Amino acid sequence: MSEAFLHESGCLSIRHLVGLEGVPREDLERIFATAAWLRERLDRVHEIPKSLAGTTVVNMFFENSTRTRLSFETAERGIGASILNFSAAVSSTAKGETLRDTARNIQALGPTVTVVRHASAGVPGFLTRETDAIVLNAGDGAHEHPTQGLLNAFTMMRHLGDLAGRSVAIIGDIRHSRVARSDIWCLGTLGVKVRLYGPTTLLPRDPSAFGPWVSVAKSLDEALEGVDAVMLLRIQHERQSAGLLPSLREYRDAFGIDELRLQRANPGALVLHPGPINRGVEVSSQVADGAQSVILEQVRNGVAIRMAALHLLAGKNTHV
Amino acid sequence: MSELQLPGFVDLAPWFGEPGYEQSETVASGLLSAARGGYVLVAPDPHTKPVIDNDAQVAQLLFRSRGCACGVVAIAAATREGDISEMGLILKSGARIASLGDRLPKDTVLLRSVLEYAAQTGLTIFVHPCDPWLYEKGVVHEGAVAERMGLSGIPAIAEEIALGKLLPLVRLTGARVHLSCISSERGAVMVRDAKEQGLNVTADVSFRHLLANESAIGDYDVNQKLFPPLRSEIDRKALWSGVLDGTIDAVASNHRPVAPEEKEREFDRSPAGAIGLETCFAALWSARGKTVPEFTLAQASEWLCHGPRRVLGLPPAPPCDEEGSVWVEEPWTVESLASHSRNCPEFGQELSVHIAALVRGGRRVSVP
Repeated sequence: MSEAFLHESGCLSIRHLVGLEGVPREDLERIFATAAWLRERLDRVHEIPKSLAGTTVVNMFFENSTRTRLSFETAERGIGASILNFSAAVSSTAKGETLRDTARNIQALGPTVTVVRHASAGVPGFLTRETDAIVLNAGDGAHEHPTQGLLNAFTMMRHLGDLAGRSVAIIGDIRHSRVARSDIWCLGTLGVKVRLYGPTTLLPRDPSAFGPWVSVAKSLDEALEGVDAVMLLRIQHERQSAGLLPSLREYRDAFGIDELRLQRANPGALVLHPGPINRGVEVSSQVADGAQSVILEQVRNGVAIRMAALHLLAGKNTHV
Repeated sequence: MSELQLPGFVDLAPWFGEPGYEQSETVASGLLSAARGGYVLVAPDPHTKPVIDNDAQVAQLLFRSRGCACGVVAIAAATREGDISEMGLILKSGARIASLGDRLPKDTVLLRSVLEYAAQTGLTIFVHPCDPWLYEKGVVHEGAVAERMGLSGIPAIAEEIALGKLLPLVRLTGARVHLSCISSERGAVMVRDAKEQGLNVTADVSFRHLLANESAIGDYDVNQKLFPPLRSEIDRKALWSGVLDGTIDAVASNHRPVAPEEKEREFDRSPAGAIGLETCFAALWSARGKTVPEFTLAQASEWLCHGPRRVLGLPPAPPCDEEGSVWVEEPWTVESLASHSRNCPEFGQELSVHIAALVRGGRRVSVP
């Protein structure tokens, strides 16, 4: 990873952050370098330039999310933005207002940035066409969660350095995971080989759709063998009721990561998880709390990454 | 500017919203769209609200279509509230087709009974062969595009499974069945095999499935969200082979109007469908030799007129200088449409041919 540096806003080739598919490597590196600079100053927020002072960020969360929204709000405050929060449960959406009308009404308030989370894939892209705001995708259906993908890669780089040529395993419900898709695109751009594993009913049906750097392992051992990082995904209880999984007990037995299984990976391999963890299901408490776990560090890095993305896409005054 | 003369087109199962969804389309606006697209007859899909599933509703449809710009061949639903509909009475009221709609019934016993009864009554059964269980949660073709976009898919095997269930029942009952909107390679193969075995089946394909594949969805373009979904390029090429070798008897518009306020929303919640009556022939002719194989006017006439007429059991078409349409090969930007809906992938595009006149009773008349 290049040295920590606060890049000028507007230096990215992308105007919005809707997904990581197709985002050039140079953009990723600028985001990482800026995040690294900001990360060092998270405890000294007064040193962080308020490049979003005087601008309004709307957090449009059509899906409930505590941790992602708090992370974004922390980042937004850190660089001086004014924040408006929109929550679908208590909004006009609950009264039947269409998405387009909601977007137009919010647009009338004149936000510079819209951070949006929605259960339907494609909504952030819809907003880029319907509003003038810069759009950051905080998760759209099973499509992408780009800042999560960025913070995952950033976390790995802080420990492993340049990720090119490394191998990473993603274990769990990949089919329904926007985090996994963002990880796959980001890691592919960085030259990482990605191995997928999980119940067949929860794996992508066509992994070749992503690219040659992605493979599906035939066993948990094969997935973990020699990897530098293991990225775990949360198993949602509703997958069981949808007939895709016999039981969480079965999942733990066949796919859960414990200390013994982790030994298949490279010594010191990192363990990541986007949270919240199902302790004793996808990961044992010993591993979740163990020396190789960087789960809590991911949370901290998430604030830095989101701050970097906001600054680079929408910041104004960048002189330190 | 060269002129093209074609016989009157006949469309199989376009959907008009009346009764129940008049904001999307009415019988009048749908028939006007049809006339502007060169159609002289359409057989509208009966799954409205209420469903056209009895003789009174059929009579109502025929009444609504009187004096409109295009004629109607009535279709009624093949089931009514979970039972076989009154096919004999429906036949007497003027319908010649009974439709099972866009998927097989979940109850195989009901499916068999419908086919047995239709075989005796003499009605042709229309159905899009799709397994009802595998269809439920999907919004696009289950393939590479769905994978990248995080969308749930309707697998091509849903069509194969449905045909695997339906065709033996056709053989058993002797029913005459028309398979609407075949969308997959395996579907085309199974139709070909069924015909070779002498089963009384016909099939059509939607023109959009000949023009485009799953990648047309682009950046979650709701106007490319269709049912059945646009499938892979392999499927598209197989459908063309089926059309060119006569396995597939007709090309249909799969006209499915959706009012803008319902269509332009989150992709997974947007109703599937696109309108196509006004642009079917123009879009196909404009793509000839570019994204689709070369074809002749005679072939187009077969797919859009003679084939559909045989499916409906109609007499041969009058010659095109007696009834049909006249088209001019000059650029035409698709802008004003007769449909109440605007879910048209060709909207705003330039096509290379447009309709110039209708031919009725041997005379040219202006397009309404």
